[in-house]
Amino acid sequence: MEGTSSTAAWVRFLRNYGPIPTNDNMYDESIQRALKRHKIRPIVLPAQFRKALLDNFTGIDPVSQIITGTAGDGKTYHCREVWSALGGDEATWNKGAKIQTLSIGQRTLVIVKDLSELREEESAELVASVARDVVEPSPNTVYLLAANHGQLLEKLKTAPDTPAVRRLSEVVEDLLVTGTTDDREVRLNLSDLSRAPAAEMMSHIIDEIGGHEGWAGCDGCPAAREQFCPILENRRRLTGADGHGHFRQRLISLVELSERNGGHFPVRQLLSLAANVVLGHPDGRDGLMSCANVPDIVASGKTDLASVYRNVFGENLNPSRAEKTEPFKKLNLFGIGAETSNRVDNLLVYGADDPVYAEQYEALIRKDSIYGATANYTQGQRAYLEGREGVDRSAFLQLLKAQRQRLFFTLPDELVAAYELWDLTVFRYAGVYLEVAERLKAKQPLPRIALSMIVRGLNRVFTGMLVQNQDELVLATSGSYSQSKRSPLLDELISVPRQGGQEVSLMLNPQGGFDVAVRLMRGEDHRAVRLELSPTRFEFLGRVAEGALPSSFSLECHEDILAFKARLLRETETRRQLDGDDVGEEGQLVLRFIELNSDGRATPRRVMVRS
Amino acid sequence: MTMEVLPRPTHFEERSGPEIWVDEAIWGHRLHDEQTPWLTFLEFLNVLLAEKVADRALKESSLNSLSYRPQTQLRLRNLVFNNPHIMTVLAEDRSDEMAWTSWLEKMADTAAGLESPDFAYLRDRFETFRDFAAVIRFLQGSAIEGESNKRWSSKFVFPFGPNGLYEDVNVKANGGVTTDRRFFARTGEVLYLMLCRSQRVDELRERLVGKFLENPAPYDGMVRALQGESQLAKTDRGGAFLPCSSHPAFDRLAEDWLAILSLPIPAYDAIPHLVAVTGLNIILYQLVRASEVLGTERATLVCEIVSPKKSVVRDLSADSYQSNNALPQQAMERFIRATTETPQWRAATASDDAAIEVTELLKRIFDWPDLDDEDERSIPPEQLIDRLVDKATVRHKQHVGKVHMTWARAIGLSSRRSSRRVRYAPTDRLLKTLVVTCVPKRIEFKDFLATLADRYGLIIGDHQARSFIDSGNADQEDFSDNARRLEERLASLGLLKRLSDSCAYVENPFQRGEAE
Repeated sequence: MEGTSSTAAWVRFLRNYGPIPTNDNMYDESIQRALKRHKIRPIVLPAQFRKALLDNFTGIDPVSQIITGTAGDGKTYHCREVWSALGGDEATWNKGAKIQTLSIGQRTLVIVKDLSELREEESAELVASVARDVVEPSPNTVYLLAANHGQLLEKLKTAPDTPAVRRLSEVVEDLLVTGTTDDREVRLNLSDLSRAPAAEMMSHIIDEIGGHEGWAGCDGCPAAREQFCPILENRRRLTGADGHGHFRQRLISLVELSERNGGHFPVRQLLSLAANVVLGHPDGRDGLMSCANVPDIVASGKTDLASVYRNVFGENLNPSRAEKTEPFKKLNLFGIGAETSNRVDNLLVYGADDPVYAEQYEALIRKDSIYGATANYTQGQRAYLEGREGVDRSAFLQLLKAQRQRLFFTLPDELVAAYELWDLTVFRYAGVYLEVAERLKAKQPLPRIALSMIVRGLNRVFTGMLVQNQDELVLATSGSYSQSKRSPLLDELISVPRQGGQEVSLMLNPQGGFDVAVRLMRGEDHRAVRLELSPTRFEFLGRVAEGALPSSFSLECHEDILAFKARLLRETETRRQLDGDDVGEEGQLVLRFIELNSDGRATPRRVMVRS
Repeated sequence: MTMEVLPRPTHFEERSGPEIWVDEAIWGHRLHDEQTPWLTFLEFLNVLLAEKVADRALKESSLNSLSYRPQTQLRLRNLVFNNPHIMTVLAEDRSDEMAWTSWLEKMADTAAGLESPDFAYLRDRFETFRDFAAVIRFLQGSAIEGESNKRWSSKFVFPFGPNGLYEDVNVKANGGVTTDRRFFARTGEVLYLMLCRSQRVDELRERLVGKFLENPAPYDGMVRALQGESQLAKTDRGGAFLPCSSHPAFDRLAEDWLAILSLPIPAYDAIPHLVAVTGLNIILYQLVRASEVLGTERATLVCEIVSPKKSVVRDLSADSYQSNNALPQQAMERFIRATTETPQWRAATASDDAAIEVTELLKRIFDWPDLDDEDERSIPPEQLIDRLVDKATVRHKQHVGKVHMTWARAIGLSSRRSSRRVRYAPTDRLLKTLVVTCVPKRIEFKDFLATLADRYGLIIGDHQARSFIDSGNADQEDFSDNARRLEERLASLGLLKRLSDSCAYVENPFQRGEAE
């Protein structure tokens, strides 16, 4: 088979990006070798900081730059791009000197593509000169240094300890952890590739892999012409050809949600994911197909196991490996396949016979004979329903799981609401979350339920009572410690619509997510108190708003929200001091207890105590 | 055995003092399992308040001379914890005037431990009976041990300030009030003495008095309205004893307290963290003193970060728990038997009047046996030692021997979750306390693991578990997985920021700029 298609080499190359033990394509160096051997055009992805870096180094007042990120994020790639764009000679670069220098006008640019390559004395010397030059207002030498996080810190730590080096280390640490520093005289900028938006990158990768010239060879391949090829089918489904656009869109949503929850996807993992989606099959070597495997797989009737909807969760790999392998570890946190709703399961199990579901079963399942209503599935379904003796039910449950996964990625937009798409994940409010994020970015009005749901959830956590208020924030206190679960005393009612300087709203944050922001008073000096709403926190508040008990759903979120309350309480305290509200009559203490009225609204009751 | 053991104080007349002075000589008078870390902290605050009133807060004029007079606040306690009438009276739904009258009558009958149970003064302090009821309900809701089924005189209002502090007592049916040391069993006094003898006591005094006694929460005024004038115990409480004049464990405890007290959080939010580190430090103090007696290395605590599956680390941490749990009793026995290796013992047994000499020697050291007891005077020396060991063991097992077990569970250090054996498996809450205590602003995760091991002997990661790995009892991967689980837990608690697979920072949530 090998000789019949020039695609085979490309597929082999793509395979190397996949989750295989050697993972050769993790390193720029080995990619370059493979490309030369097979004359394959490299996969080109945008270098996200390229323009900013070039603008800086060609500007009148350049600042030294550090590029950091996880292995596989594209650090070396950025350095090479800057080198060539500023007129560096490609041959010189390829000789691979660890420290390269380039003149830009009067200045010298020093590029180190990987700090960890330097021997200890080399890096000590370099760190010392960087520490010296970055505090110069107009230095003769500027730097572009790349290293992953751990190595960067290690190099700074092992350099000889001088006040200048210590200052540099502190600034780098600040920039790494918080993104800013107070020491503005150190002229250094840090670009963290692991903070670049992975959802966008996923889209580039899908285009790049799906549209690669390597596929051209398929035209002459008998597998593609005369029979069916799962690799080609998967490529179609990944790129969204033939009306499969939902797969791409929902995969990107999952990546986005995961990132907002703090689960970062480096470029390398995204490539590995894409390769696995296209090539995954449990019968391939290491769980990945090559062109040579295709005829056997098709002949064995197990093409349904190549389903993109399973591969995306690493189900082509053996379970213990998938469990330990990124990116599947992160994607499996969504519980897709295990989570479900009655409606979805009714459709999948009874849909073939139930007239109510007949039309949709036809459109959603039967129409897809490759990964939907396969012979395997319909037989399993039949046996399950008839409940014959000796039928292995667990086998059908596995098939059902695969169908739920498929449905998650294929349900058309107009049925998303009817089938409550996000009930197929553990994040039932993820749909609302994404909609809020999108509308905030587009500056459109938000879905109405979002803010009132958040406020009701916050109020229930703040008071520890099942309160219904959703147009005002009920800031309650326990009188004792802030983490106390029940708070019977009212501190303040804060209006949700803007009123007298008070407002509760959802706002974009610089990290690309959004916060709930509580503004307590007018004036520039008093910034809103903000809490980032990750998908997990959003889910938590949503569930609490609909009646879940806070501490039984998520202890961590509960504590987070109580800590947020403590910050708000500190703020109201400060404001009362400013306003002089706190000065009561001597010997008198006024308390406001929260009472619930008949429709569940919290209202205050004043109690005065004379001591 | 080279350890400091101060002599038993003789300047207090105590009829009910310990009969055998063994556990006390090693650890102090006394560590007690039924006194939870929370109650220990409350007892401590009582001592601090009394000594501050006497103008000697955290100052010991001479070693083991502490004698203080705590508050009793029995009016307040009757109102909050011995007052079942409020619901009844509210249910009668009568006029405000009638409600007060009815309640005052009922209360006059049932209030206990007071010479004149007259609560009529409350009518001036509240506008309505319902207001009064709301305040009582609030204080019940925020009480310490309020939900427990302890007797009413062993429940405590939240320590909003000095007015709400009082000692644990027993109120008898006839109205008599006695200090039976049931739940304030002097562990708080031991804590007080430890801090007194720490190097940084001056800084501590300033912070503690400033935070807990001089700037009470506004709700302390409410407590005062209920109590009126403070009531004091009738006699001073003496007899506290701590066997060393200084100890690294005391300094570590004080440093932990200072770290927490310097956080930018209100005093009442610091309390749960203070309670947890106190529990941990006292457990470690008990273990380190045991090691000193036994002449062994400092004990380590292998902690499993709870994993869904059974693991090697789970077994090792259960072993580690079990062996530490047995240490105090071994130390107690060794402490007694070590006497037989001294020249004094040899001289006594060699003398003509061996029985009497030995008895007197033991009496001097252990306050046992009773010299008037004919029976015990006639026993041969070796058997007498055995008998002492037996008696001391029975006594040890009742309370002192249970401290490690009870306290470790109380502070969330140990658990039996998904296992039949108890093991060290810290809860999220304890982990948070450890972060706010040990991390000034932020440190690298691997340094955090090293700090926990150096400071407390907590073994979590593979670097710290070298001895287990080298001896073949575990693979490196077992412990690196354990560390990874901790990393994930801390991240989900918002206490850790991961920069990449190889690098993460543990952050103190209260010292982080963005939280403001």
